[in-house]
Amino acid sequence: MTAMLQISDLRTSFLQAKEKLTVIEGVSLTVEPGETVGVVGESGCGKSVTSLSVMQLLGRNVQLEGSIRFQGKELLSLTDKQMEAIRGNQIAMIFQEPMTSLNPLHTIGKQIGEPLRRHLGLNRQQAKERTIQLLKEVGIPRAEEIINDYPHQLSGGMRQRVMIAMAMACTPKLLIADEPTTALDVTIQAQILELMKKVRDEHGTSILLITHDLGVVAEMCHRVIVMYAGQIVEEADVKQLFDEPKHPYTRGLLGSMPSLNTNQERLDAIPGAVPLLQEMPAGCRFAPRCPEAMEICRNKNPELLTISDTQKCRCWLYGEEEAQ
Amino acid sequence: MTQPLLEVKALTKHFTSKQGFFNKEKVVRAVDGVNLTVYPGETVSIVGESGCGKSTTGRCILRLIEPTDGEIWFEGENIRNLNEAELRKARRNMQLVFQDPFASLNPRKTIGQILEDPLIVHGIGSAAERRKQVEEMIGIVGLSKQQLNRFPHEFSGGQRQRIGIARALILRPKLIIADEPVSALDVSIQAQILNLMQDLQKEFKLTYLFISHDLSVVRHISDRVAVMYLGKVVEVADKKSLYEKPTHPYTQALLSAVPVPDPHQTTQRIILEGDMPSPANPPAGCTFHPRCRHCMEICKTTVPPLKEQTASHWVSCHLE
Repeated sequence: MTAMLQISDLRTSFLQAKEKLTVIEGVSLTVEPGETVGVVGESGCGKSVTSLSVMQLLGRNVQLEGSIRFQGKELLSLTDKQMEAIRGNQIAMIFQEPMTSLNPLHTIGKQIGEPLRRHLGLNRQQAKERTIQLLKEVGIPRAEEIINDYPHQLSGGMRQRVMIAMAMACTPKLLIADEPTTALDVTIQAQILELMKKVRDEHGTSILLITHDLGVVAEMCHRVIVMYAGQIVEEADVKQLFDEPKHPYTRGLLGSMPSLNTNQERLDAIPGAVPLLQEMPAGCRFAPRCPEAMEICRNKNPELLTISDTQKCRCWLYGEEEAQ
Repeated sequence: MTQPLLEVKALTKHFTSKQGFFNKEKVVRAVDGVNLTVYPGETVSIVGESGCGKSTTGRCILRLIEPTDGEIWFEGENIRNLNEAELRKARRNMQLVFQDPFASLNPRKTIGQILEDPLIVHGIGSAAERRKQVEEMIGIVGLSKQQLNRFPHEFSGGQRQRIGIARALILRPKLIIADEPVSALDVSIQAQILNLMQDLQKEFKLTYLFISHDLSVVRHISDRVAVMYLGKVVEVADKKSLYEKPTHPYTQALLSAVPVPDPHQTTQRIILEGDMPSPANPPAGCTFHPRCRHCMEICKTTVPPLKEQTASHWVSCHLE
């Protein structure tokens, strides 16, 4: 079976007047049909740029190297026109900020109707009927009236429901959700996650879920990819990641989180901060903050090693065994 | 029994907006009769979702926003009766740490100047003494004195929040009101700041009023927790009691909504219908009743009082 999405050795660079800033360094990941894969990491780790690279929404001064295959078809060699036919049709995206990602000048009905008319060739009346149906599916009351409203008339949770309705309009095979619940309150987040699960299960959609929230990951994902400073540092089955995190960064991330169910005296914070793009360490990018850093870590960046069938880790702690 | 450091009684803030000449004034009940007691040395948190009035409550206590009604007793003095000069003096003992470390530091001042300003305002020490205090304080929050000549934009979010804490702490206040101090930070940095705040509390015997929407953070840092909904406190209890035996249906829903970072756990989630109503037009009776799964007839008409259900566990609900 061909993978829904297969990214191999992706390298995304921003071209500036004098320099080339490489934000994504050799990211490879696969999303199988019906699978939900989470990409977690902190600000600046490159998780959003990865998702925008797949959609090719990064603008002109960007260089994409490597390969992004969607159902076996290479996306990086497509023309803009060909990409437009896929975007919003077979691959759809939900953005973080539902206020800035909806057009304030168009009604809800018009915005949801646009992909329907463009990709599915529906006429105005058919698009309207389908829009109302979609809004009902995502749990919006009074859908017949809401289609005439503008985004500012809706609450944050409602806007995110509209975003989901819009993304699901053409029943895409792959849904990329970039921090879909980050801007929402926790009770509204619960509603939206529930809705995403329902939509996923009904249509068998594959999801690439970008988030910083490990709680959301545990709840939604089958497999998880942890990113740090533009690279994948660990990849694992969701249960494995929480039960036996291998990379010191993953462990640090889990230790930093205050728990809702137990009382802790102190959090195991990771010291220091993420290195700047221009000042990447020569060796492992996490070495300056790593409690287990060794000599080799400061000199040489480890490869992403396969530890078991379902787990990979970029760390010298496991590399030595491999070498012997 | 120890005297409370801060006692807030029936604190109310109504914002009024007038749209059009003939239209009636619209009243937004941002804070609607909040009672809160904070004892010396403890951490009390106010938790709630956007628009519940938690930040407004924090600001009203410092009179950064003038309350509409109510009393604010701090160390035996009603803050609301103070004139401006007296208020400034009182604020030496109650300081604020803001949410956004990017917006709350003056970009045109160096860190040294930012930290020295509160000392100047309160007329403390000579220039040399102030300098010494600033240097000492920057070390306490984990930065170095070489960084005092730099500007805010040269620091990361976590470092800026350390500076914000240093600025609040330099006057050696008794009470610190921290309004979402870690919400803008990544989880690894958030843990650093929470640890720092706990260390400082021990070292300087601080009392915290911690305002946050994050229930896990609140559980970690607090001794007692107050849950707010639509301008009112719906439940107050010590941490253990609140998290293990939440009594108000809103608190129960709120706690069950938090995604738990454990893929083995399958919690029964209470999904609330709809959104929080507008504080400009709150429902009659219990303000939570339109979203409550236990709603009874009485809830629609009568506001439930905040009652002590078990020892120091207060709930505002008609359910028994």
